[in-house]
Amino acid sequence: MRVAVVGAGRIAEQHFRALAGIPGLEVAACDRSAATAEFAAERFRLARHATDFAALLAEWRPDVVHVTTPVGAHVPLALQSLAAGAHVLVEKPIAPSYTEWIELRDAAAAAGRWLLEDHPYQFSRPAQRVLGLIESGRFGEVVHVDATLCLDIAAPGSVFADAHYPHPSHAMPGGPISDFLSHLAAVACLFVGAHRSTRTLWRKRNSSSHATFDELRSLVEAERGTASLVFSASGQPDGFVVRVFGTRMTATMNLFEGSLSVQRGWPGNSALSPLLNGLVGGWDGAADAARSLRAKLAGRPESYHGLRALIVRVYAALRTGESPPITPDQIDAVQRLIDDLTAELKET
Amino acid sequence: MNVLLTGAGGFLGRAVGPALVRHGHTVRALMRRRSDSAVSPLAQGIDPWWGDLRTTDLDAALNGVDAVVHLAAVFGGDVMEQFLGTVVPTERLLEAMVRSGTTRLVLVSSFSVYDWRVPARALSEDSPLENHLERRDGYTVVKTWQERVCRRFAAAHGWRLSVVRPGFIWDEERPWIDGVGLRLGRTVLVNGPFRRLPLTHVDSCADCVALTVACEAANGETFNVVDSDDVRAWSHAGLLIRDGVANVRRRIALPYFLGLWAAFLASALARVLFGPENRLPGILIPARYRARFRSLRFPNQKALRVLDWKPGVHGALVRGER
Repeated sequence: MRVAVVGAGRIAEQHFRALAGIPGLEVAACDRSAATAEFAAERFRLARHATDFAALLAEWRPDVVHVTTPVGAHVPLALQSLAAGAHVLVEKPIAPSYTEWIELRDAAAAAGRWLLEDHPYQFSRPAQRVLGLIESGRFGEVVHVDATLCLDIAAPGSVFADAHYPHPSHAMPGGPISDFLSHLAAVACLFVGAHRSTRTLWRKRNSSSHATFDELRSLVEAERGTASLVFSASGQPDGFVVRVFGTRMTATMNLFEGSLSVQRGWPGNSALSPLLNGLVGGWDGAADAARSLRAKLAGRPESYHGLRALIVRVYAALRTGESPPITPDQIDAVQRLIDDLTAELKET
Repeated sequence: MNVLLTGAGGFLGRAVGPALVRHGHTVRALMRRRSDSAVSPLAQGIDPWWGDLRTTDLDAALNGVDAVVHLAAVFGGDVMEQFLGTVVPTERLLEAMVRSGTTRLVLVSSFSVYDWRVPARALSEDSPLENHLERRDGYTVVKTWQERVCRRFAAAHGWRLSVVRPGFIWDEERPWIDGVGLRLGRTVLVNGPFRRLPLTHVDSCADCVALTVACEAANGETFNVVDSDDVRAWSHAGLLIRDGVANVRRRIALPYFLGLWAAFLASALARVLFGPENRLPGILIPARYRARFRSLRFPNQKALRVLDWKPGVHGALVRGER
């Protein structure tokens, strides 16, 4: 199977690493910068590198294209790839607007090809464990999900803080927060389904930040429960903490670190539950922290485990003829939620 | 000559601008506008061009320019950040040079591009370059790639390219250099105390770069820039302690090979425990340890002979003129 990765920059590294672990793939890197494409090809021992994407599609005819460019190029490159008969995996956010997502979705349907957005945290270790608990019935029904993403986007060295080379997300309506709405929205949709309504606040807390907004709070009513979504540039330390409240258990995950702690009611004397939860949680926390450290030392940080797992599933499903791991309906629910969150910017 | 100097606001760039002026050139200094007052007043003959190599209008910046002295590079961050901040802007600059018809390029590279395992006694301009970039740090990777793309463009367009590779650059304000040893709090662990240091004072290095620009004999040549290799790591560490540099109070000697064996051991252990892509600190990776601490001679005869360069001396620091 032939795979082309278009845009060989930062996030593409993680795609190349994931693809390297899948046997039977021939991978090409394409980038407007010839040196960047060649560097990727040399570093990850790829089959080919190119600067002309149209020529690569026409001559090499990849079966799958990964679009890992800045968001402004996602839609035209994905449309080109679909027209050339390739399945397409697009980095988040898949499109700058809901209208453009619909255009993409319709093009994929017409071409009969897969179109996936990278929702990495759905496939992260802790999220998969919680989904397993929910599926088994032990978790009970999900009542609420609280997703809080803290990231100091104004920190020295942050790509969002470079005044000399503004990050592409600054051109989006919500600024750099728009770059993370997909993560927040995907987690909400995963645990409580498609949304019905939202109430959102967009704020700028750090006046020295280049971002138009650096704080977001949103309360979401959805099909199966509610969600509160938070982005904070000032809240520290950096982390993506998701707490899922069920009728029998509560799970707390840090999706950047791959950690999970589950609080449950224990049979017998309920007075002992806090102690037992503390002991089990402490053990789980230490084991997760050790695994996270080991993953960092191994050069495979837990924060990208979900992306690697998603890519593995995509190619396994393509080979076996199963349905894609992320469906257009899932992406649509996420895009609709992002669209509503962004629409409330006008009210702000 | 009219010279476009990139990276003009950096440590070396702030010295190269005035050096070019002293050698009779007119300088357009490309530098990022900074909110602080770190940029000293510009010398006469230096025309500031405020901008970033990744975004500024390079066609306009190159208008009327005869030669480019390319210093700009990103330090810090992971390898991809450094690549996108150094090599990609270099490509952008070279493409603009093609459009503008500028045919003279002086690239300031680094000693880090060499394969430090190969030379038997001396590291010279003819020493082989590192082929196993995966073993080396991000800075080596991007400086190697920067040289590669410059050489390719120069070959493709018939440009006159000179590459200048400085050793460790220091001055009285920044006397600490990583090659001395490993800093552990107030103690410096001097790996290979009798090792010679390839030092070059920033003004001396700037003078060498400025000489290269108009030197016909320098076209197509590479120059290692080292003032002299007489200074030993142990004595330089002593000067740093004497002058209270970087809060260093003590020096401990560590035989070079002991450190290298420790790096081999740590590297092998990490490979077994964490796999081939493990992230050890650079000091525990043999190729990086070697590139920082290997004991070699560092001849500078080529720059002396071809450029008629008069290198500086280590004396200012020795005399405590700080």
